[in-house]
Amino acid sequence: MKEAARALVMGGGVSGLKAAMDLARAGCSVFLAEKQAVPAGLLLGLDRQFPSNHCGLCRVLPPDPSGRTWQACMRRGFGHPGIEFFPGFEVQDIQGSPGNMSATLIRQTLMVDSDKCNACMQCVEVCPVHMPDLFSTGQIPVKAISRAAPHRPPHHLAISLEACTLCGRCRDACREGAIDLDAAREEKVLDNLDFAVLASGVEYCLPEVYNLYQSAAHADVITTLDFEALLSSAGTDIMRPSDGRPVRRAAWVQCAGSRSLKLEADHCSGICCMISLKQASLAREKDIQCSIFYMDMRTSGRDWQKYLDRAREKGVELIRCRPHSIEQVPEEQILRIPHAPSPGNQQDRDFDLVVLSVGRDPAWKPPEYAGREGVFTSPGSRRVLDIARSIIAASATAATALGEDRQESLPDQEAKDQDQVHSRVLVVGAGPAGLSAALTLAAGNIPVVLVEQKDHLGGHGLSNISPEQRKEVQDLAARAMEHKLVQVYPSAAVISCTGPAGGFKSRIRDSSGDEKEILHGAAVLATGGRAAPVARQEDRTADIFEYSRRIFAAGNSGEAPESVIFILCHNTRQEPANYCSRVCCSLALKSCLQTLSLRPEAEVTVFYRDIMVQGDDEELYTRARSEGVRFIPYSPDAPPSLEAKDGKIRVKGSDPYLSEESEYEAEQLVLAPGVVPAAGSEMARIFNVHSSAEGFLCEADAKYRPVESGRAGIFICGLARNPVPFKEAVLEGRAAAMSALGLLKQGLDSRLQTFVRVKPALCSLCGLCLEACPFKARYAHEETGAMAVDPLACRGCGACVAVCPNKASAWSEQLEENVHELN
Amino acid sequence: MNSTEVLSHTDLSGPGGGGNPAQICLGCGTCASACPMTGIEGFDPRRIVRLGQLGRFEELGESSLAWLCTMCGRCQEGCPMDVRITDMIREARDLGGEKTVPQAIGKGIEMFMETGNNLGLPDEDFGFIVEDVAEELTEEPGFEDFVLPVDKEDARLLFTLHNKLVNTQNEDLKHWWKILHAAGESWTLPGSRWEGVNWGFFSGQDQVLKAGVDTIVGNMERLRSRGLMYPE
Amino acid sequence: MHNFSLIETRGDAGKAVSMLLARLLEQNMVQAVIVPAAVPPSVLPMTRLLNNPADLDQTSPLAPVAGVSAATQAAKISRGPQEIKIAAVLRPCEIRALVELHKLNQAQLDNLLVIGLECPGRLENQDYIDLQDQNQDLDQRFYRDEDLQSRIAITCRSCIDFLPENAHLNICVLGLDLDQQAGIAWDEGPGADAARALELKPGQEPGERGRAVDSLRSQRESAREEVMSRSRETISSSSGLQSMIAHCLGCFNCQRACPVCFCRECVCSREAFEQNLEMLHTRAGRTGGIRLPAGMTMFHLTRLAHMAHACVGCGQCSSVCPIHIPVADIFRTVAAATQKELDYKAGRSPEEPIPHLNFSTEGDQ
Repeated sequence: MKEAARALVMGGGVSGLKAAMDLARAGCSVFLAEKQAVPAGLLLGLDRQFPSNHCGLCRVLPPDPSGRTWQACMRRGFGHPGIEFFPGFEVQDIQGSPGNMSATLIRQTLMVDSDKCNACMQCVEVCPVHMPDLFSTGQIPVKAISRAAPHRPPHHLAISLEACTLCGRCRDACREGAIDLDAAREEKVLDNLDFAVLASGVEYCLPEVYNLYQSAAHADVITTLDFEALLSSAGTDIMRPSDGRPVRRAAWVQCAGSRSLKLEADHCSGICCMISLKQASLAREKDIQCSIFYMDMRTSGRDWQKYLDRAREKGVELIRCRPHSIEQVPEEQILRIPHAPSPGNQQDRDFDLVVLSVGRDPAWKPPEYAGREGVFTSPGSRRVLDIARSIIAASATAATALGEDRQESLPDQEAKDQDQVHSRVLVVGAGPAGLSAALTLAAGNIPVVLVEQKDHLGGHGLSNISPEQRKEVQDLAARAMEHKLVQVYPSAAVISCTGPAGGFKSRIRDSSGDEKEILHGAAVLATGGRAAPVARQEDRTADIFEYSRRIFAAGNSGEAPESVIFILCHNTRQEPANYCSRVCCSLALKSCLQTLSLRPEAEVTVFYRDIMVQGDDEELYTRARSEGVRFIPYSPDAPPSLEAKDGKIRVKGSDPYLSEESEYEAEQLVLAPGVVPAAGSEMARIFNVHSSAEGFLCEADAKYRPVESGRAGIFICGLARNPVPFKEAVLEGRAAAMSALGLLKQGLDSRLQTFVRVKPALCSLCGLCLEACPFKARYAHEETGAMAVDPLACRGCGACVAVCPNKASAWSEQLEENVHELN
Repeated sequence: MNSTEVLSHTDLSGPGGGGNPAQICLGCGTCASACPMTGIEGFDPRRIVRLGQLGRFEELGESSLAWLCTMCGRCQEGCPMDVRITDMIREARDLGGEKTVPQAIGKGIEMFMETGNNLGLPDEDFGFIVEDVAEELTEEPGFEDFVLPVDKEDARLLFTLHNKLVNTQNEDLKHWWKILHAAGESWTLPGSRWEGVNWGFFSGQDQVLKAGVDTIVGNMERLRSRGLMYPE
Repeated sequence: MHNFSLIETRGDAGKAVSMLLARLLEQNMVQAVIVPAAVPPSVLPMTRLLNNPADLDQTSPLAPVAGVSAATQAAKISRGPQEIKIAAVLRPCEIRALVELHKLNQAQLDNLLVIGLECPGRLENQDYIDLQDQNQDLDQRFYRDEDLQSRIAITCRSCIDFLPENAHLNICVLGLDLDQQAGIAWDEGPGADAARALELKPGQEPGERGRAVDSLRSQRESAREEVMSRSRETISSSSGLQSMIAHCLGCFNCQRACPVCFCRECVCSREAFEQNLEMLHTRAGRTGGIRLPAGMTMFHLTRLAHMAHACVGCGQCSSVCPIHIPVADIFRTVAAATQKELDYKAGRSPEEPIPHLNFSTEGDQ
């Protein structure tokens, strides 16, 4: 029996938790270090998340392998025996090389002994040290000793050692002897680590440091993080920090501390637009007038455009202008924002509260040890990512960290004889996502059947404009063909899939037309996407993908057009394709730059609605502008008109800055119509999973289960799920594979899963439970003459237990709880 | 380099140096939000930058837009893309050529170049005016021994003058002369080319700007003054 | 129903109907028939399965009695092999129950030829047996004797759903002189096929029938209103309900007799409702003693919660209660309110889905 790999995960926020879970489920011995007393990081302060506007707090309960959570809680057993959790510790340094690394952990938070503590709060009373709270940038005053997670029980107290002066007053005030300050100096060293995953996130920009909008002194100018705290603590009204007056008018200012060369912050944090939309939407429910000052509304997730539309319907006002400063009008106790929403038109708007939508601190850098060999940094610890992408990135990082070499040190796959889990995964689609998934699984000793519709592997990766990415895909394809655990079926298709998770039975048709039956425990759907069709004006129209391929393959200036006009968001971001395809803007910018580098005098014009680049891709936009690309915004109700004339394309639009009609002529027209899924609806039908109206495969939970479909055992990734660029498709493939791997390796360990059993003697096959189950986890079992439950699909939600009149369904671990005991 | 070249060059250097070309403008509206003149006669700094961005320099020069600016600099200070908008506006003013310079300023510049002051006041007349005021001052108690230093060599401070102080507001000269006298300061006025208001700054004409600076420097060298008080 | 035909009864309507049933067997329209029959030594007609036309002689299709609700047995046998097609003579409430059972996969309506019997009410079992002694042709006399009709089960006296719905053929007795004729009604589909096989010619439906139905209905409606409002008042308070079920013996007869209580074993008789001494002792301490078996209120409430939406008002629960608790009144009152709230009527249509089982993922998350 091989020894398990020892892995250190640094950071217990959503990324760290996911990475730790994935590694543990893959068989590693995981050490999870988290600076605060409780895990969940930023999420502890976020009550409501977009796009559901629902709370997700319960979904990050602390790891609790003891199983003390209530039997019907969906998150029961979220913890894992393979994870050793070090709350209150931060990794200070890492030494050594992979396989032989050691990490020094120092205590940053000292926990009060919760067995002795009776929450009398005397210690808090006497503590002399005030500090900014964890959840916002100082709006809520706390002491150095405070409740670790103020808004949820149990009310464990913890001391922040960064602020604590070790004066000892709390210890002396405590009548229960629950505080031991000697532990403050505690240090731990973890040895013989095989690798480490960095998942400690990034730091947010503090507006005071930069005096953004001249507002450093205004108490009623806060950040989006502060506003989250107001949202969650607010009963009916949201109050102004300065005088406690209810807020009736609130403003959000986007890109605070980003998209600014002056601040050396030429980046976009990617999710601040959605955060502000969410906050404003929720504030609208409290009848607050909400205005958002923005430059581009970067709502580029699959469902986010619709979220923007709904926010508008709720009455959120969007003002396309960046203000210079926020003025305080003391006599009227308001904040005033002068701005120019249209040329030659300056207005003042008054607000009770202004929220600065901050992103990553421009001066923040990852810790030094991030660059060491053996330390794998999750993308969420380089730039701001939303919850779903953080989770995907964390899983993918765990996959990378495990790598191929380290797989040798994972325990062998043990056959779980109960419930016959087939140790094999069917991967449908061999593009970048599918190939990444297949190879991650193979590296985990899981056999893979890889089905690809075309006669070759690589999908769109082969025509990617970046030679590095093309090579990456070619390498993946070659490795897949050679790998002894990967069985490739080119020119093949899946016909059907039946059975429960762990025991799927699928039929495929191979290249010679023969049908084959595959038994597999899980499936990964990676069927990809393609460009949406465009209407062509003569020959002079190309879609962004065709044009980019052409311009990057071009060798000399003669192959570049003299003049080219791009029209972005063409026929998209409106019904029926009401979503942003994410990839077109950066691709367009790269194509513009390439056109100019081939032909510096070329006239390049881009008509756009919002430039949707994010993260460091903002630099592309800045470069494109400084090299002379003309950008002309248009609104969807007045799109530029196209005309083909005299062998040229003429585009008429209006220049909003000059308030005049503008007409541009070009030799080449490039349209960006977005991407559509290639086979989403078909996969949905075959695998009995949900797909959206546009044909994208739907995940079980938009935030917390981004690569799992609603059906246990079926995973989704890449363009089949949502428009993503190449790198992210690869991450999603790996993440989906890690989830499948965890499922198969863990099998049906009942410690970790609560599910329902049926008592056949009582079951009358009435079928009420079939209707009630949201996870399609029940089916009629011919042999027993009763309903049966698919234990891998069952989530233990209890709907069937509730609906069955004679309790023929019961939770597996539940003793027959007596009705009469309930009082 | 002419202004067109300056405006379109990737390394726009205004009086402050550095900065980014107009092309890099995001269209964010920070400048327009900050500008006290936005909306007055259709003025909007974004328009100016946009014309520059689109390479429409002639238009920029011909229009009156550039002349509405007060040169307060708020736009330039706030611009996230570091576009030197105020500098751009100055360049635009120069682009238009002399014919676009507002009459009063143009006349003043002409006068300055000829006579060393914007009023076109001959040095002799200047002398009479300031001496008159100095004499009046000696009639006030405590200032009987006041002597107006003009063209004094080796003084610590050389003062330039706003032309208004020699024209309609010359009573105001007395206030600071009293302070200087009471402090026992070593100072002097130049007898000629005394103008402190450099309208080359407003007109965008660098040669005028330079001429004004040259004048002052010339006076300092001539009188060997150690310091300069430049109230404008 | 659209088609109506009169058949001659020659003084014995039951026999006339039996002959039709026999002919259905002879014509191989069906392979079996279930119909009430009292075969010696029994004098109480009970559901009998026959497949020989000659045996139809001894049946009593029009007997004004239902030993138990025939719906339960009809449901069971309908799940059998499809090659054996069965004609089932059922009362309106039994058909309604069958429809509800169909929705719960407990019955396969497609396998049955449903023959509905217009029902002016049934006599309680013991009453039937006693009256049978005194009246040789009870089955025939009942339909013209008001005095006999006044002896029907209490629940039936306020039943307004006495016309069969969702049947293929209806046996019509209201507003007709059964000594002379009875009526058969049918619509297109299997009913029409059966009518053809029976060589029934459609004719005019006598106007008298409509008047008789209306008169009966208005009588019953006012009776029902009275029963409902009395029950509503009583059970609107906990003590009121307790007073109604104060004598409940815990025999579970009502649950067993109820045709729509389909569970093989009632939850209330299983572990979840089991009582141990410790529990009882504690409660006795609190409430000053506890009746054994305990939890009978819970039983009734649980059954109401499970079945109120499906109650068809057959009254078997009251009929079988050994201590004459008017269980049916409780159930019909609650069912009326529940079904109204859910815009649902038990037994109205096999296509109408069970209301509280509509799960939808639409709407704002």
